[in-house]
Amino acid sequence: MTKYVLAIISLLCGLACTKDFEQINTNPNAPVEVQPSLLLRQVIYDYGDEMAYEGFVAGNLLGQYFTEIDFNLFDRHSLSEPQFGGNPWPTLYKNLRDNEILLQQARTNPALSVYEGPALILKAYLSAALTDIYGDVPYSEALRGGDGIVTPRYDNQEQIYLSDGGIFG
Amino acid sequence: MLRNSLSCCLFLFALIAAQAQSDISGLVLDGMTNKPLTGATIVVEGTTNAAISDGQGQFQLKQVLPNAYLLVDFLGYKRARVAVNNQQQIEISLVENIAFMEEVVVTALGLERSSKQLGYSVEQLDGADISEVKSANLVQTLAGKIAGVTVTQGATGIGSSSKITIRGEASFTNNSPLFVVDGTPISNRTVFNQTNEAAAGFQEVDFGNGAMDVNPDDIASISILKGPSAAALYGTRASNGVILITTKKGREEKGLDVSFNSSFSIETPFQLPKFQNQYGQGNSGQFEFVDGLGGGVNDNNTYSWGPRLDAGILIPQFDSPVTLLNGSVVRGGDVAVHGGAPITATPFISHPDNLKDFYRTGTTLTNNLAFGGGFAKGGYRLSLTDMRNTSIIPGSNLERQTVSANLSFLPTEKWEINSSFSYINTQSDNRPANGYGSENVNYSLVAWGPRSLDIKALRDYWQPGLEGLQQYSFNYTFFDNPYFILQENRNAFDRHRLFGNLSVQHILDEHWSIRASTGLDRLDEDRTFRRHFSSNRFSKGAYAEQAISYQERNSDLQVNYTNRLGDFGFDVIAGANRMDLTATSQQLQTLALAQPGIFNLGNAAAPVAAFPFDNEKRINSIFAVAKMDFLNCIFLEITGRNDWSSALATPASADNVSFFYPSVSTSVLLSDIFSLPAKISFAKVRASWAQVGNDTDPYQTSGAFVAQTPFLSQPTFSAQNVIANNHLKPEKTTAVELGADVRFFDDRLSLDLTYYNALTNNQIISLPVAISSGYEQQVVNGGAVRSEGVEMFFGATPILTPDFSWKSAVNFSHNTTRVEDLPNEIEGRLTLAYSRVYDNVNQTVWHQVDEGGRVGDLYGTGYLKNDNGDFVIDQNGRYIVDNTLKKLGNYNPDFIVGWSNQLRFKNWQLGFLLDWRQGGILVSRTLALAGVGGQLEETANRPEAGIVAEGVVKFGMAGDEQFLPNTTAIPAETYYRQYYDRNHEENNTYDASYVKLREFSLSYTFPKVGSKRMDVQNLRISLFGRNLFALSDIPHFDPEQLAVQGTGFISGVEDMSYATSRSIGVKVSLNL
Repeated sequence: MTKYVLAIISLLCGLACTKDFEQINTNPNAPVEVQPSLLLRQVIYDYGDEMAYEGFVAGNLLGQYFTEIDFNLFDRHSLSEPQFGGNPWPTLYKNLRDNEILLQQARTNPALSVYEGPALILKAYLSAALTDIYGDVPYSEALRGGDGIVTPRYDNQEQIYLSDGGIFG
Repeated sequence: MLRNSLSCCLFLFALIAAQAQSDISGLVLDGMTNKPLTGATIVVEGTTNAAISDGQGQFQLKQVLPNAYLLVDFLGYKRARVAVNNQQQIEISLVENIAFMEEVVVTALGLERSSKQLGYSVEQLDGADISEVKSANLVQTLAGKIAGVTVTQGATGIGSSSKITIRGEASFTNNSPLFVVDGTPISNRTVFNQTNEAAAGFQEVDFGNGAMDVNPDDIASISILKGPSAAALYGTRASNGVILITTKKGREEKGLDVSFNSSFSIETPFQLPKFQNQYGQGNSGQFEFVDGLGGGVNDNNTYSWGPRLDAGILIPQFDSPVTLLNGSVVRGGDVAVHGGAPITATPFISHPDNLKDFYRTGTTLTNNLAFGGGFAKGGYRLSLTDMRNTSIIPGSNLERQTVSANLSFLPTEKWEINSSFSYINTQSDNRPANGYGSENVNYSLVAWGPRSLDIKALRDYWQPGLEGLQQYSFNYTFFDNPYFILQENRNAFDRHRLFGNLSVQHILDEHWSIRASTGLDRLDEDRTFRRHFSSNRFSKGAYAEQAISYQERNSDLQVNYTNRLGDFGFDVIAGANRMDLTATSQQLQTLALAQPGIFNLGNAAAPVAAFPFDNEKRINSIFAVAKMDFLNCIFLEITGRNDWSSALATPASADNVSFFYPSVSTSVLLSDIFSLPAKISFAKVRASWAQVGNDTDPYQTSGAFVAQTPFLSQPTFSAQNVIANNHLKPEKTTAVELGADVRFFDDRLSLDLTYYNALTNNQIISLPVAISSGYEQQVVNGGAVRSEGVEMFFGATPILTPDFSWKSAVNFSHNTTRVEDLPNEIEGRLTLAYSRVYDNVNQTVWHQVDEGGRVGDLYGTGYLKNDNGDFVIDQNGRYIVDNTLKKLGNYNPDFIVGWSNQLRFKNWQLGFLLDWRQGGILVSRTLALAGVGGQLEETANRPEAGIVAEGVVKFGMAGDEQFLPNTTAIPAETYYRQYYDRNHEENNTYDASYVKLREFSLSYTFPKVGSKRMDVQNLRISLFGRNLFALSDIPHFDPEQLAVQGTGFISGVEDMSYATSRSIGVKVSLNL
């Protein structure tokens, strides 16, 4: 009888054990897809905000024109932590990533194709800033962590500007 | 086998010698106290003729042969075999079974089993172990009592969470054991509020852990299933062990039993920091208060590097008088009132007891009334409990009311219905904030409370005429008045909790039975966070509401088959379970109010921000247990379970959600198989092998977009920085456990040894990845962690006479949890958690692991040392900063020993519990901050000539360097401020070892008293104490500490903790 009970339970489970699981594990707290306008606004605003901080606040702190009253070691030239300024590398890549998602949305959904132009301009603008500051940087394989590429190859600056898909490409 | 054959022979003999039968009656007594025992079973050997002793210990048996034997059993006592011997009145004395391990224990699925059958380690505490010296937090009462269990109390006094782990912390993500009450899993979560890591917004508040709500007075027993083999049947969440709570039930015999107990205790601070009392507020010996904002001399800071105290100096201070033009007098700190008028200088004096006077005497009053009884077809118990605590922390309290009911009903012999429910309402007007920052009063009183501060002067905390608008304080730059925080800026909560279950069992025939049950744990909690105008973090006040709900539903169906074929016994259970869990939390907040003192969101003067969070999970399972025995002396148990967890599904697929885990365990009773020397009364060996999976939280398998700071009130979104893993696998633990249980001299000496070795692989790891991939972290399965340890229980009854007995038990445990493997992508160490001051990366203690390292390793920075271990001092006499992270130590103890004792002399009973934790370190923020602040006694020595730092100075070129002792003196203030600097944790680390007198009780049980109308039984008065005394290297606080960072606990860090309490009380209990 045990066997039969187990068999019945297994059978039931085969049919029902994973019912609705896809829906249960869909995150209700954060969107899986967002409107392109929300991404575009983020890229423009965040890039502007971060670079303005780098240019003015961080620059003035480094030059000792400003000082922070408390807890900020950046003005004592402790440059290891990018959160205090001095290293726009993560800012550039995060915004390039959001911009890339925007670009893909524009290219895959004809109704959103109006966003392709702005996304391409921002891509060129941010990539130029990146390679102008740092020289050779990951570009052709960059931003593809979602596809499993977590150690993207560095490209030389000339290719970043001139190759197909490059800034001028 | 021998024993069985013997009984058979006797049975036959009894049959042959058939004689006239007669009715007999008798009395069952405790052999030591001569108290009647209620509920003992009396069976005429070899027959089904049986009786149960009643409330007076009496029983009747019909038609008993005059030469028959009676077998008398009672839980906790040794079985007695008594010859009837032609008597018609028999008095039977039972001897208490001193080795409690031999008792029946409750195991997985609520199955009561004789512990001798178990092939794995289970320890059980009975209700008295929990309720004799009560704590407001059930988890805290487990401390020191069970080998392998580590309990640490929280930092915000009575009502804060206690952390519990069993056999180390082998998972990188989840190490909480599962709590089960009467077969129903209940939540032991601690849910924190939404906070801001920076020095702004609300700080973390600990509203207690879920299992805190379980009422100690309703507990009949607690079993601790330590390893995964004991736990395999509770599924994935039991991978870290199970705490199995069984509540009290009604009696089996008729009649009403009323029991009442009342306990009252007073609490005092356990350990306060030891301060210096020679120097007051200021820097470089200079201080004068003008506005507390820097307008005076060093009056924006509150270091105690100021002038000497008690030296006859007069200085204007915050509590010095100011005479206004109209002749009225206000205080120096009433800045908004006097507008900068001159402050009259007053004596600059010490206040050695200022913090001691700030804490008050706390009280806890608990009353419990319970009714229980039985009727022809069942039993019931109803219990009401009221607990009221006033904390030693001013303005803080905790109240809890519990109603619980337990009902069993047997409508026919083949049906049994059981139900137990508890409803609990827990409230507090204020739970103090955790961590470093202005919302925690230890920030302004300990770290930055200058030694010239008269805390009493802060009691009147409004500036006159500006009540509700502007607080009065000793400093307006960084700090709030502590009374203002605790009385006005309150974090209140009101929690409603209901958990319980209903089960129906049907016996089909002698082999088959079927059982269906459903259990529920439901929690609804409302929290409010009020912040008044002029708070340091909220100049225009603030208000937040947080609503939390949690519901877990478990439904089970089980089929049980039991049989005996010759020498073999079988017991098979097969079943299925569905678990549905929903958890929600929503915090709504505004960081400015329109009208002061009105706390609702309608009064918001800034946008209302919402932080909603919904969580849903379902696990479907099937399981089977097969138990076999051979001659009742070799036992084998095989279990298997398959789970389907929704947390492993992705929004697109549910193909990857199934996982199976088996276990096998065996127990062999050597003392029943071999003839062992008479000194050995019992010997058993056991072994088990088990696997268990540990799944994950919902929504880890898919990416999402995260709302960012709005731009000109327009929303913005960005992709999450973590690459989700849509092929996430559950963690898998494979554990082996070996043990032996040997008892000597009629069980008066017993020894139980356990060795275990568990490997947890497929750890769920957030791997740091290059940001050029577009992401910061990637969730992977990988790594392997080995947890290995020994546990020992040693019990002895050195004295056992009717008047005097002494029972003693020692438990010992040692665990190391080592990382054997990490994914290759990790270069160096993996960060598991951290504790930091605000959002400052430099002021961070890291929990990091590397291959070969132990879980619990703490990393931080210090000052440069040479190869000899001496500090290298620079040419100016100062330490040299070394910003490379170094291992400070590990927070886990090397071993834990608990020693409990029970002495009884006639009606007096004395018990105490010592808890010894050896090893482990604690990084202290109190030492760092109050050291830099010059508040602690370590900084009292301030010679005029300065201090020469102990260390060496480097001379010569690289390769030819020489180290000579440092001789350069630096000012004492400079020295101490550098030595304790919070940017470098190494000097602020303590050895966390301690020996603690954790529990103490002395009680007297009165002989039965009563009148014709009413009998009072078991009248008992006890004096008890908890957390009484500790030996420790740490002078400033309780060595038992737990910090909070964000939404999690951080062990090994003391983060501006409040004083814990020492409690001493009186308890009266009686039965009617």
